[in-house]
Amino acid sequence: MRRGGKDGVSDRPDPDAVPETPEEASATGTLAARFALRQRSGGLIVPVLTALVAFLLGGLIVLATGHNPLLAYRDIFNGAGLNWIFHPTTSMVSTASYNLSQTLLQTTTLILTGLAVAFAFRCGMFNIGGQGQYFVGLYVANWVGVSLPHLATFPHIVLGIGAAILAGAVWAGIAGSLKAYVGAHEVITTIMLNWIAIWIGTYFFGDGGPLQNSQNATVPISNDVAASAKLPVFWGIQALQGLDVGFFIALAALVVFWALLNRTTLGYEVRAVGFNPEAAAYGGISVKKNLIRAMAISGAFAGLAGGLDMLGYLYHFATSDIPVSNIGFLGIAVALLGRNTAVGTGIAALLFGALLFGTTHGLSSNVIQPELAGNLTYMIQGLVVLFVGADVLILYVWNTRRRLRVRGVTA
Amino acid sequence: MRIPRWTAVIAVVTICVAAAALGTAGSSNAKPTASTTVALVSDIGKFTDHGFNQNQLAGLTRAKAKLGINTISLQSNSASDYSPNFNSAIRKGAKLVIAAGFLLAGTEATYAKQFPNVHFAITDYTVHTSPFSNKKGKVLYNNVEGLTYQANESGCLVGVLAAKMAHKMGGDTIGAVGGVKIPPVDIWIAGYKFCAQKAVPGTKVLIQYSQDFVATDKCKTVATNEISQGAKVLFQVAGGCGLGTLQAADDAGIWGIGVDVDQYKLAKRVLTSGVKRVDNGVFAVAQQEQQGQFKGGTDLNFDLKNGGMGIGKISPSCPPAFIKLMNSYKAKIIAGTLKVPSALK
Repeated sequence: MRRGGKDGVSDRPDPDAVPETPEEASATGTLAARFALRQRSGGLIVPVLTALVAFLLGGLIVLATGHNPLLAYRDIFNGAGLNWIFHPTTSMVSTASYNLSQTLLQTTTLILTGLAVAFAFRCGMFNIGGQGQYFVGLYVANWVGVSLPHLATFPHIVLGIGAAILAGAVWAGIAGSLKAYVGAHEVITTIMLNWIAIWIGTYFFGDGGPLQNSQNATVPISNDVAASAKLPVFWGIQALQGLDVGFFIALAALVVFWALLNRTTLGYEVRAVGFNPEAAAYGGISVKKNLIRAMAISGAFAGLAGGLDMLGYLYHFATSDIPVSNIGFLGIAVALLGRNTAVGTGIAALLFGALLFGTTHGLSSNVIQPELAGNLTYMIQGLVVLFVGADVLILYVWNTRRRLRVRGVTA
Repeated sequence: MRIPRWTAVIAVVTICVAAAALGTAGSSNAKPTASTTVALVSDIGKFTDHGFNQNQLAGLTRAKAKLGINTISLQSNSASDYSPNFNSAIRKGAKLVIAAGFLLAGTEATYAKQFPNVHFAITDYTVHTSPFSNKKGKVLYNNVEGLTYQANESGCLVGVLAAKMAHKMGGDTIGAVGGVKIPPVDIWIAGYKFCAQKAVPGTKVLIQYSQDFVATDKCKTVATNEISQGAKVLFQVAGGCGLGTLQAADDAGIWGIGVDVDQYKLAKRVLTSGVKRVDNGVFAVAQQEQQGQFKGGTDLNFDLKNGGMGIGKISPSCPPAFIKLMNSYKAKIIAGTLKVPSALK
């Protein structure tokens, strides 16, 4: 293993630097690694409190605008279809079940974009490129779905999803390779790759683009994918955006994420690099290889998200839909709140999925005007993200204080 | 780190109580609907875009006040919101669902097929094309009405003023900053270019696109580019993004022209605005629905003649002679003696 010190990882680390506690290990790792570690050491209570405080503050802001926060939250809760569990009245069950199916559609995507961020985090990297990786997955799935109309259903779906996973992996792999070989920071490169993906999509679906509508060439919208490429819907009606089997694929991805990290050599190496690249290199683990591998796997999750969205319910995409999509960025919040774990990501994805759908569709225009409701969506999401970020700060202060106390005792 | 056990207990109890309270509270909000209910679904431009969507919402609000109908307005924040918004409109008992633009065409066609007893309308889209018609041009759904606008006619009028102003400033170069190169954008520019060159022969018309309808900075960049090429008047045809064009015109001390709604107050140097009364379209189709005269399978066309198109407030800096000339164009268009092209060559 020969490597330069460009990315701050030297060839022969000092043996004395081998960490004894995770906390010390984090002090020597990358910023993202320290961040990730602090996060996980916080346990279950901190994220729960974080979310509660964010909701409380969101409620105060709703109150300040002269609306009843309890009514607003009730509407969000019902709008997300979570009242389906209670079956309040027979007349509402169908509405609730439709809403819940939509919330779970959002959850499906958020689980995968969340995992895309979480996996890179566990290797000490901050993948901000989930959005771009999601887009390339979306484009490729659309291309496969549209251009092979005579394929049988099963191979068509497998091919579409497989291509989306591969596209996402390659897209993120570029950032991973750049990090490994020239030391380019992944935060910068993934953000740049996001923009490249956005403009590629604008070209693909735009006027005269290769994926633009062939039936009505006057609108910058792609064709619908062929019927054989559409994922089966198990809840609701396919034409009315029912819940597709992609949901189960996302749940399976949670298990894969957990097993990959905790039950395979690959996962062990990825985590070792995440804890402390120098120590990992000293132990004979190729840091370069693992940086690329971890990014590619991250991208595969995000690409899968794009593929499932395209084949599961979107079927087509327009250039104007590209700049307003932020599901990949929300994955960052999901991963942070979920502590970069499989279970945490799953729960956080459900929370954000419910928020996303509930605020957009639950808030009745009698309680809050629709033009305000749209902003409320972003405000509550923003508060949750802010507090998720803030709890890292709280933990940092907490840990520093404890370390100082320990030092004071030993001195 | 250690956190006392009781915090966990409190947290869990709070969540459970909150969940139970939320779930059971006020579940009976179903009101009997005596009169007609009309719903409007926005595109991803949202109801806060100072133009296309917001103006349609204004039309719906006016219909509610003047016609006494029930209205529902549903905002789409992303592509995944279109279908749930249609669904929710129909579930809430809407007899007519209006889609705010071409982005919703595919979803509207799906719902029109699924719910043949509900009426649909779509702004700025003809029913004589896919997905509402088949390849031979046969209309597939008799419950969809298109609302089309002859924006080239208004584009023509602002083009006349633009060319005359540029000529007065000694430039003879004007520009247009479009959002994306699509027919609803190009129809404006086609009229603008045609009449500008008719009013002042030899006028050079720069046409560029920002590829965006939302981000003002992108339009500002394109606008600055056109100004550096000598443009003295800029016509913005990019919705909310175009506010950047108007700002760039302000900064450079040239003139900007607004689009869709009267944007006179959005910047200091707005010559005038090309106005497309999408609010009138929403109002008209809502009125049709209320009076039982909804005409599915056809287009309802709006132009200068029936007041569906027009222009906004004209800056006092514009010489009256120019306005007089513009009015002569207007008269000719209404009389049918001047045909303005609706597509760029």
